[in-house]
Order: sequence, then C-alpha cells, then structure tokens
Amino acid sequence: MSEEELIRCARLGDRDAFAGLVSAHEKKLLALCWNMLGDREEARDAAQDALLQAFLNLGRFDAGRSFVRWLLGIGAKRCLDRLRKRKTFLRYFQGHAGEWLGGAVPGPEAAAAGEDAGRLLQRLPARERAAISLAVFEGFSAREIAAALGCSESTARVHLYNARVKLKKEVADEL
Amino acid sequence: MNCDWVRFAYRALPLPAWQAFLLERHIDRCPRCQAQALGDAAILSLGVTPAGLRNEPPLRPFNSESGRSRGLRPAWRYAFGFFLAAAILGGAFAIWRSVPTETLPQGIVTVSETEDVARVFAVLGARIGDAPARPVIFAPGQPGMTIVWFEKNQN
Ligand SMILES: [Zn+2]
Repeated sequence: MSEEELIRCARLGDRDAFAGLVSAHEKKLLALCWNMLGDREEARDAAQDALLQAFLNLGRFDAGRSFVRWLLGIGAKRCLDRLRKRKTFLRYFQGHAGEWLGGAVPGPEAAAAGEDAGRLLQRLPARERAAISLAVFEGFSAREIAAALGCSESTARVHLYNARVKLKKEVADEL
Repeated sequence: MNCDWVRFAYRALPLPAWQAFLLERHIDRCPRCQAQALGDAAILSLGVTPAGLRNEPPLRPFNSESGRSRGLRPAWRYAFGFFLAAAILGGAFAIWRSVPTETLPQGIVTVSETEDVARVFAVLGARIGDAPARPVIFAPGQPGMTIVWFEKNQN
C-alpha cells in the first residue's frame, strides 16, 4: 500500500495501517525525542505519546505536506511540553534546595538521568535543543522549524545559530 | 553588514524578514561567524541518530491505556507496584527514624501548585544512616507525577 492509502485507512481507525505508516519513521521520531530529552525511557514515552496523538489527529493532517515532518513536529512539541514541566519544577527546586540541604543541588543534567549520548545537547535551552535537533538531525528548514515550534522563522534562526555557537564552546571546553 | 552587527541583531530579533535574510546570508558566508558555530558533522556526533537505534524495540503507542509500557506483564506490574509502594513507605519510615529529634523536618509538604505544571513539593531534608542524603528529583512530564529518591552522598 502507498503512503496515501495507508493514511486513508488509518484515518478510518485502522491501527494496522497506522503501524505500517509509521514503521519507517519511528526510529527518526525516537532519535529526535532522545536528543531533546536526553533519556531513553522518557524519549520512548514521548515518542509513543506523539504516535498516539498523530493517530488521533490524522484527520487534521494536510495530505499536501510530508507525513514524516508532520509526525516529527508533533514529537518536538511533546518533548517541549515535557521539558517545560521539568524546567519549572527544577527551577523551583533549585531555588530552595540550597537552604534546605546546605548545597549539593543536582543540576538539570542530573535530572535528565545521565545517558552520555546527547549530554552536550542537554545543556542547551529547550527551544535551541529542539531547533538544532530538527535542523541538523532531521534536515528541517528554518520555516519548518518555525511551524513545528510555533515561532517565527527569524526566531528559529536565532535558536539555531545560538545553539551552534554554544555547542562549539561546549565542545572546546570539553577538550 | 559586519559580525558585531550580526551579534547585536541576533539579540534584537525578531527582525523584518529582509533583515533576517541578510543576517542569515552573512552568517552562512562569513568565516568569522562560521568559526564560532559548530558544523553539522560535529553536531551529529553529539547526539543519537536513527541508524544508532537499530536494536531498539518497536514503539507501542496503543499498548496500555496511557500508551506507556515498560514491557512488564500484568502480574509483574502489580508486584512491581506493590514493592515500589512498600519501598517508598519503608524509605520514608527509615528517613523519619534516622533524623535526630531536634532537627526533625516538618515532613513532605505541598508548597504550591502552579497553573500549568505538575504539583511542586518541598523535601525539607533527608538522611541515610548518619549522613545527609542527596535527593534526586525527576519530573517525567506527566501531570501529577514526580519521582523523588535519595542517594548516599559520594564524598
Ligand atoms: Zn561575520
């Protein structure tokens, strides 16, 4: 079956057709989530959430667009949601933990549960991480990143350039 | 357009589309600006690629009501849940017992609940044996779920 036929069947609720539709793209989706979240288990949860959301919202998919890019856009948004919640919590925790515990405050990296892959990426702010993951790992243009993240194209470009500059510095500092 | 202007403009964004276009052209072509940014090949080596995930088990979006599965069979899930609850209660009891009376914390209290995030808790203190323990907090991003555990300090 072609991708269009699989989409048509999946829209009618055919889960097997949906599985066929996403099977070629799920490693891409998982890699994106992993790069954004820095943790395998959380990446799998986010990717599964994204697949479920894609299935439920397939009626809104514009057949003129690329399916995989639409799916990755959903994945990026799911990851940003998770990062926002994580950050709000950690900000609160770090603001107070020093008083309570007399130092020894775990940083965001500690909370991101130390997978070595993507460690430097995890030091970027969430939106920069999303932009660089989509641009470099998935080949998104600034326009596509802007659409996926719900920002302007120029903002997407800023995130990208800033992320590249910061990563360059991080890599140099590691050496 | 020079590099200093580029750095300024990057902070001043959003710019009109034509200025953003010029900015991007400058960055793409200017060796000084390029030298400050990490290239694609180096960035790719920093993260996970689909090819590196060849041995990952397939995703299961329709597995379990929440779409989340750790691959545990139901009986094991119940057993795991039981042991987890027992471990949390046991841990809380051990912490409570091990804290000297004069510095007894006021327990775990709900401090506030912000509008769009999961509950925020304050852990006032914890010890393992005689030593202060290090809390590790992980918010998996699901509303209402925050995992807190304690580890012995390494130093
Ligand atoms: Zn320049």
